[in-house]
Amino acid sequence: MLFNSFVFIFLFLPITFIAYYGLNRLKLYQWAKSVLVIASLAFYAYFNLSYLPIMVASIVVNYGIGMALNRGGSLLKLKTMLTIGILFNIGLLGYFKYTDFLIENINAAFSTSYALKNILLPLGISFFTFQQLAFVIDSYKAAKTTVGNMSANTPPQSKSIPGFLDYCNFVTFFPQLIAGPIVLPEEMLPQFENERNRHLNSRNILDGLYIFAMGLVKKVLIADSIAVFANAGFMLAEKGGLTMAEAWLTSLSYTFQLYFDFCGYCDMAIGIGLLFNIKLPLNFDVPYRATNFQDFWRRWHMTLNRFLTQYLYIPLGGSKTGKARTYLNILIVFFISGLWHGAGWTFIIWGICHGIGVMICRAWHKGGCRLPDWLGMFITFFFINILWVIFRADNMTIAWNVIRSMFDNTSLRLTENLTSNLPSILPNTINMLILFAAILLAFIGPSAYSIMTNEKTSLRTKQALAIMGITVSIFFVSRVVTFLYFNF
Amino acid sequence: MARKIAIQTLVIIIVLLAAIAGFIIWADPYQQYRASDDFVGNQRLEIPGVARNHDYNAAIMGSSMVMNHSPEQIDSLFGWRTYNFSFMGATHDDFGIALPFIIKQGKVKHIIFDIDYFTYASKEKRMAEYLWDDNILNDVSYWFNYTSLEHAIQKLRNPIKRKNLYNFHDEETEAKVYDSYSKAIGGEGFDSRIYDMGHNAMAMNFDNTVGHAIKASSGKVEWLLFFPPYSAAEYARIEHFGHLEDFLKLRKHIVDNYCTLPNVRMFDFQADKSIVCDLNQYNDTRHHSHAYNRMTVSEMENGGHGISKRNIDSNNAEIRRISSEFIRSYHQR
Repeated sequence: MLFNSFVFIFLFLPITFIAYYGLNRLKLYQWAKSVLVIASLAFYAYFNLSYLPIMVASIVVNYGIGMALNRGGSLLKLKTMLTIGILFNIGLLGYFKYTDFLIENINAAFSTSYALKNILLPLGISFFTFQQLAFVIDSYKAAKTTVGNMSANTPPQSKSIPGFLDYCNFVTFFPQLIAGPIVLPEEMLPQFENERNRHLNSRNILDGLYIFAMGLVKKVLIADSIAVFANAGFMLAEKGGLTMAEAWLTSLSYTFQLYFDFCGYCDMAIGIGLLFNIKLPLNFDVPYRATNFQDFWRRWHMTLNRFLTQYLYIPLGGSKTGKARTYLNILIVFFISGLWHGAGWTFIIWGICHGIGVMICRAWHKGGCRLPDWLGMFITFFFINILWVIFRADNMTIAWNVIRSMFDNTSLRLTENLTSNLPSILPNTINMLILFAAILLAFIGPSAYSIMTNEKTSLRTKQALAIMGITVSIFFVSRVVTFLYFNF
Repeated sequence: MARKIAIQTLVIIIVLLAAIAGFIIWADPYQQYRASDDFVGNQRLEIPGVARNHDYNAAIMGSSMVMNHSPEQIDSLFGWRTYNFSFMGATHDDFGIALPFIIKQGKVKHIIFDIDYFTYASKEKRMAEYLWDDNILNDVSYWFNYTSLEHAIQKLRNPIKRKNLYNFHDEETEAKVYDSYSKAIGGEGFDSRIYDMGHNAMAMNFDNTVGHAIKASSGKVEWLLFFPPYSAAEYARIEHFGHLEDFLKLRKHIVDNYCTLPNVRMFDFQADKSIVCDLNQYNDTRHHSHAYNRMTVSEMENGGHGISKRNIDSNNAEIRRISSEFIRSYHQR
């Protein structure tokens, strides 16, 4: 089920909302939590019922490991449980996401012809696996601390494992289940346990409606409208036939489509979370205004970056193990980030390029060099825009066709190839104006989230924006287009 | 204060959405709820409502090849009450959805249907399926829809009357046919992402959609199937891209499997040299004049140009000859 679908907006969300608060009002708190879990499982199963057992199995195994860790024991036992947990999660993700990629590469490298398994990738597996990995690692750290304290003859810290329902909600809570934000146990579990969150909160409802509306506008009005240029451009690039203007239109359209698509999804997720008094973390902070690559990754998909920093970069030694090792750690993190986004060389190359960008930026700053913000922003956006081409293209040939055309100034006009017969409900001129507005919004407009959290924003402003956003974007909901990040 | 504004927001949103839905239901641009004499001219969106709410006992269906057929002309010849339910750029997916729905209405007793190979090669899906069923719940996609809103306004301000519906006319000349052919063969041919020109795929697509509807409606609906008269240039175009035999095998498959069914009569205008080589009757390699519309339905009424297992091979051989002759004459020009 998509947030931008009628079945979600008119049926699923109202029913879940009424059932959740209705049961809480009757003081049936465990039932209310159960309703949230059941609704989330139904939300997930709506995409494909066969995904459900995989997710349920993953929840049960990880919770079991968490319980075993919570019971404590020798360090060896804890380490064994941690290893099992990590292997299980990486194995699950590896099997479903990377098996065919591995076979393809073995076939290519050794001229073998092993048959592809054509394994169906369960939706959101990259997200819920990372979240549970965080839970297992955090449980290990807590248990290890307890063991350490006991050996030092200090009283053990009693950090009990969350209840199973709270854990299920942490993993499956439907606003963040399919495409994040990637939440951590420490920020979610207390919210599900907090008794104050069981009651309707008008302010949260108003904020939730406002930011949901803004997300819906970003997705259905902006991202889906400018997507037509990106889709047509990449299709044409398969044959290599793009002019310079078309190549730039293609790359810029995708750059802003991806941003408004994913940011729109996250805004909607935050909004829906607020309707249930759950605050999800911010995932985007006007990323195209970043003045360098490091800054970009502090603003783009912030929760993925946080996860990789906390659970990969720091355990690898972070920046505390010497210069060369620090750069290697950065490269490893971005290699994993690329691979996490998709099982393909284009994603890996994209990730490594970003890693190199961050390394150069780090060296530049360490060397005491600085650029004016406007120049840094321009250069960063320029390269990020090019790297999105690699990210979007089905293969490096197509990516190269687009990138080459971007710098081939022999033809500067838009041809009919790109602009005719686009599958759009709006005319090209309007789509072009939407692209222009998207660029302005991304570079100079206030973010929807900052408007929401700004104390000075009046409730009436939020009300007006919520009403306008929902009533305008509802006309575009029937062109149901999946969120781009569902693929990752 | 926050509570009051939150409730107000929800109420205003609900009222506005109800008003939008109410407006679309009232204007009913696609005639989903009641018949109207005012049309908007979009076949895939409009035909389901018309099929449900108008009065008719016959339909002419198919691709753009029959889009300009006048229902009145058919009525005057056959004595039916006909509606034109054709689709521009028809695909087999269109017919897989439209035919069961139209037949289910229980009104249509006769269907004149053109067999256009393009339809069965195309992989595209263009139907707004929520309009082609009786499920009231999915009408929400009709109410809250930018295209519905545009068409509702068009219907109120500038409706199309039935006699002008889907009546596109363009000048027919030999020069246009040659020009269209030159452009076609200068291009890249049938895009394999959109078309599967293999005869097995096309035959399967026909069987699963039109063929299935024909067999399922046996005893209820009479079918007049016909191969529409493309120009000779169209055969040459298909041959240029290496698919002439696929095209001919599809024809044979359909004739062999359907011409003997009790509810089917079948006609072939594609192998008549006097028709397909008169290029002044065409405005591109495929689409022909109104004169040919009249001719084809008159012939069907008279029983002329029949096709059966007996003459399919000779007709296919004739198409091969026509194609070769066109290619030869084109190069000699």
